[in-house]
Amino acid sequence: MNESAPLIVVVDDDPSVRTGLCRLLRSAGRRVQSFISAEEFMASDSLFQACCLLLDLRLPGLTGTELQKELKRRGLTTPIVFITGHGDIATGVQAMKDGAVDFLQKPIDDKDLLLAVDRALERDRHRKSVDQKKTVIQGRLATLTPAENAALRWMITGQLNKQIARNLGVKEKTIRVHRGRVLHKMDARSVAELVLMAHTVNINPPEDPKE
Amino acid sequence: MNRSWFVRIALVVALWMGGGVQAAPPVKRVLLLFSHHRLNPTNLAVHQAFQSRLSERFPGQVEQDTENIDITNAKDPLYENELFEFLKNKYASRKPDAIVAVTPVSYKFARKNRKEFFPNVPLVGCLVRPEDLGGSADPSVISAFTHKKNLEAMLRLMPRLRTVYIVGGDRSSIESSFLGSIQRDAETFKERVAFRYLVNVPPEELNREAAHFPADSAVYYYFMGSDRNGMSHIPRDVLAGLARSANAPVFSGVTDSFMGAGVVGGYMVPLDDVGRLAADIVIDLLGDQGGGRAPVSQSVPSVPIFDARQIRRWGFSEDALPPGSRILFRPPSFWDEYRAEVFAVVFLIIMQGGLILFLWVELKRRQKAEHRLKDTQREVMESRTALAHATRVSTLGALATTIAHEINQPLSGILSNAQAALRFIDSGKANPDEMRAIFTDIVKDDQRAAGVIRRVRALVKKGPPMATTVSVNDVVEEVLDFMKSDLRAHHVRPAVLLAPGLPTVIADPVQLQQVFLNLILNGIEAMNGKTVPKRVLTIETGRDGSEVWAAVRDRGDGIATEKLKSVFEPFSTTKPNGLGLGLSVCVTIVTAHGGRIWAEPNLGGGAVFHVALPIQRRS
Repeated sequence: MNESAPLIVVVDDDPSVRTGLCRLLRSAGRRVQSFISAEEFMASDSLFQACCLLLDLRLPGLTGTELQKELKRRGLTTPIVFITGHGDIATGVQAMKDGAVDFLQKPIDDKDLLLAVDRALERDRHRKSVDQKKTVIQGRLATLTPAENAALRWMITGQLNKQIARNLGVKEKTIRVHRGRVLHKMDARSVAELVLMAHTVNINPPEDPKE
Repeated sequence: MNRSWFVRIALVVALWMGGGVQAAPPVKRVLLLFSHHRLNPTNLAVHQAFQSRLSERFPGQVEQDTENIDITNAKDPLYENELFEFLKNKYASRKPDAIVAVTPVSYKFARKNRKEFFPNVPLVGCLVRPEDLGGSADPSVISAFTHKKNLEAMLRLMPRLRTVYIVGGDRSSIESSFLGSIQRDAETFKERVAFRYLVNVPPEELNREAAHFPADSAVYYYFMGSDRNGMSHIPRDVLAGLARSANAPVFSGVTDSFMGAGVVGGYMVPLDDVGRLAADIVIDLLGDQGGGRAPVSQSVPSVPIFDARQIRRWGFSEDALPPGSRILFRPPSFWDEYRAEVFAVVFLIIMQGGLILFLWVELKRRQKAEHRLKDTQREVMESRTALAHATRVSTLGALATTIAHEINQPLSGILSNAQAALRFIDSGKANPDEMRAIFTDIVKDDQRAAGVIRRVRALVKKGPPMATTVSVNDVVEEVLDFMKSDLRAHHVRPAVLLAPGLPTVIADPVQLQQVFLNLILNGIEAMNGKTVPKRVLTIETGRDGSEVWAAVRDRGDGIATEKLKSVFEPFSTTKPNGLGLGLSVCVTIVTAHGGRIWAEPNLGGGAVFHVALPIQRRS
């Protein structure tokens, strides 16, 4: 088994379901690890390595949804696919609203399972790439001077240099210099690209004193 | 006012008392003269009728003297004179107001001596013949005797009569006059029957002869006061002896005093009438209260009187009796004699019959009631079974999600395993160990699903309860296994403390499962609002004396003490959509198994439900 392949974690207390799912995923060439309870999973290293969680809603002790909340609280955004039994649809829908990728009703068809798992892995990959971008942008942000930073916050609102200068109480010429430096340091070709970068790292425009 | 009242009352009382004394009538005296012996039945009969009639009229106001002059047997004139003197002296100071002389003999004696004896005292002849009066105007009771009619009656009763024995005496004037008139009357019948005379024959001799009378004979007895030996007899006694000895029927005439002495009957003067008429004459004579009627002679004819017993004894037909015959001694019919007894017996039979009928009806009713009871018991049994079944099914309804889950799990495993196998094969990576493991798991899962279905079917199965040897621990474990996902879904942790080596009980395993299913479901529900760590359901078993017990202990809110009993009643429910039948069905089942079920508060919160079942006896 390819050690670099994304890890799929199955948590189900029922041995039939658990071994069946694991075997099916392995037969599709996936790397799988299984746990019989949420507690056991949280105590393991896989908590941080999992790229996808296959979670039974009914678990002894901590239930599937409770584990979902607990992970969120810890800032772990591992995509979750819930496995539900018969009649647990309401709980599954709630879990979806709370950010689950999918919920599958047992017995689970292999195509549905692999589709859901792939989507989860895709989201994980996307999540991981967003994280990478953030790191780059934040590195660039760190090179800005406080004045350039302030200018950036006004630039992403789309205001002209004259307006920004008035807002900050400096000369229009000074702002023109800042604009050139910010675009250069942030490696942005346009203000539009700068707005996207700011959005990625959650930088908000300043409060307009006039408004 | 008071005083005048007192005076008036005193006056009334005085007048009334004075009047009472004045009204007392003077005492009258009657002298009865009898010619025969004191105990002669004729005397007695006449005297009795006379006396009863007289006292009816003058109660306690007439004094009676009786004299039995007995001159029939003593024909000595000297005796008659001395008797006369004796009577004269005896009644000198107590003069009678009337004299009644019974029979011609005493009448003749009285008439002969009346002038010297009691002049002006009225004399009444009694039982006298017209010729005895001899032209006297004495008011008398005159009797006519007939022998001819008697002979006719005998011939009518006995058409084949050949010989008639005439029995009597001729030593007194009456006897001889009777004999004479019989002999005259016999002349009329001499063509048809032969007459034989046995006159003055002593009774012993008479009786001996009478025992050997020829066939088709009859006896006609007038009377005999003394035999040829001078021995005097009471005529009725002679008749009685003769009738006892004779081999032929004995008829008689004269007076009815002979009736009952064995005589068939005949034309006779009824002495009751004689005595009564004599008394009537005396009443008229005594005047004061008599209404002043002039006393006249009365005549008493002979009437046909017969003895029913003798008629039957000799086989005579009652139709042949003279018209208007009085028949005495008719043996009282069974009805007359035993009327009361018949009533009593009939009453008893009716009562007994009624009682028997009542008991029979009661028996039938009881049998019917027993049948009905059996039917009802069977119906109760059936409906109990049906109810148990219905509640089991509804319990299963509540468990539907759990059951579906229980089946879904292995199905899910089977599907995944099968699809994994397909993928291994398709990708050419199928290795035998992997495939073996896959198929082993598939078989295991299939068996697991089948097991769930089997248990459900056992609970749903409708059938009569069966009794087998059951281990309570096995039943509890089976139910816990069945319900484990339900327990898990409700985050209830079962704490199972089963005593090892418990004796078995006789029970229906499905029904027993139902009991624990209900108790465990109730326990789970009771702890719904509790925090997860508190949700512990303890199931214990053990043995106590002759019982195996099981306890289901929850940590819910518990049951109020006053409701510990009523929770077992039907339709008592605390659940919003519960029927309230679960526990009542548990009671029904456990009771039917001879066991007990009860609830107690759990120490530290919650409730405990106990089930105790009798241990199976070793046979």
